[in-house]
Amino acid sequence: MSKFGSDQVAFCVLGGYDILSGVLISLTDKEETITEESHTLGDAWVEHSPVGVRRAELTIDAFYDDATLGIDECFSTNQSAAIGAARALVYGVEGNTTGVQFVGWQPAQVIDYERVLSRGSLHRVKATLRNGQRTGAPTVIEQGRIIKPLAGVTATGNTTGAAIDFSASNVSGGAAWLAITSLVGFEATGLVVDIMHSADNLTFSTHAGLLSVSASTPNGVVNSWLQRVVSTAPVQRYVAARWVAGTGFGTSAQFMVGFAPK
Amino acid sequence: MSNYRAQRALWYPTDRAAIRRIRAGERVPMKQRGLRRVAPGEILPDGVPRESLGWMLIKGWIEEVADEQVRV
Repeated sequence: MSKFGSDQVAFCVLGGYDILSGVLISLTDKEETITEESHTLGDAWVEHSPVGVRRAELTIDAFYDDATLGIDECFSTNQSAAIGAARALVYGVEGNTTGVQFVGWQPAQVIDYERVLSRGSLHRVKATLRNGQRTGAPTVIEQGRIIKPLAGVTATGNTTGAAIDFSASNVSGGAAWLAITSLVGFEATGLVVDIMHSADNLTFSTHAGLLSVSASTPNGVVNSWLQRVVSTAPVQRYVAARWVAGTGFGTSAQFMVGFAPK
Repeated sequence: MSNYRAQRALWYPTDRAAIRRIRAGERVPMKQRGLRRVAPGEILPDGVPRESLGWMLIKGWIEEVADEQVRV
């Protein structure tokens, strides 16, 4: 068993915005089973029975920051889009190294955002996100492992040299998470990210169902992006990431790739 | 010896020392592996690790081909 601390919170990316850097003070990720009091006459104790519904809530407390791609821009630049907007979110809890755990949320709906200005204090912001949307995709809150840490790259590469061993191949697939926090000099489809897999850690191939996660329109107007891609096709035991810097790649890209087998 | 055709793009290490280390369970950096790529439809060269052939055949990543097909 290992213990982890605040210095090992590796990243927190919401819809492509890296909201950790220099501002995040606390993050609380809470999941709850809804229950109803079910005791009746004759019972000596209150009883609570699950009604079969779960709820997840994520609260964020941070310093106010007006930087481009910063936390205030993430939640408020376009208020109508930010509040009520459903996004994907990933955060790293055990550091930013290959093989450690990350948590992914989708969709994370921003339900409130506060700026807190107090005498004698640095400005703060608070936000609450909840799972799901009425018309949206089913809630996914999953833990996976980082197969490419959040770091910059300047050319095509892969992580086959540090492939993650999931102990066994599976027949049910998995989910790949791609969080891009920076693309410098980027144009069009300059970056394509794949999941690679192998049964023996020697010969690899790209996974057809998790192929070509392409950063074609990074977050619309900003150079950041977050996406979850799912496949039910079998995944072999060793998993790695591959990225191709194509035409229009620019000078660098900073991103993280995670994988959660099913 | 049988010949095999790749059914999908494959990447394999060519550095013998790296292959030995990988077989021993060691992590070998990408740059030391001497990675080579085989495109879908290509005949696998001799350098593809032999232990990979069995499972790739079972999983349909490669197919066995007759000598005549290789010459064509």
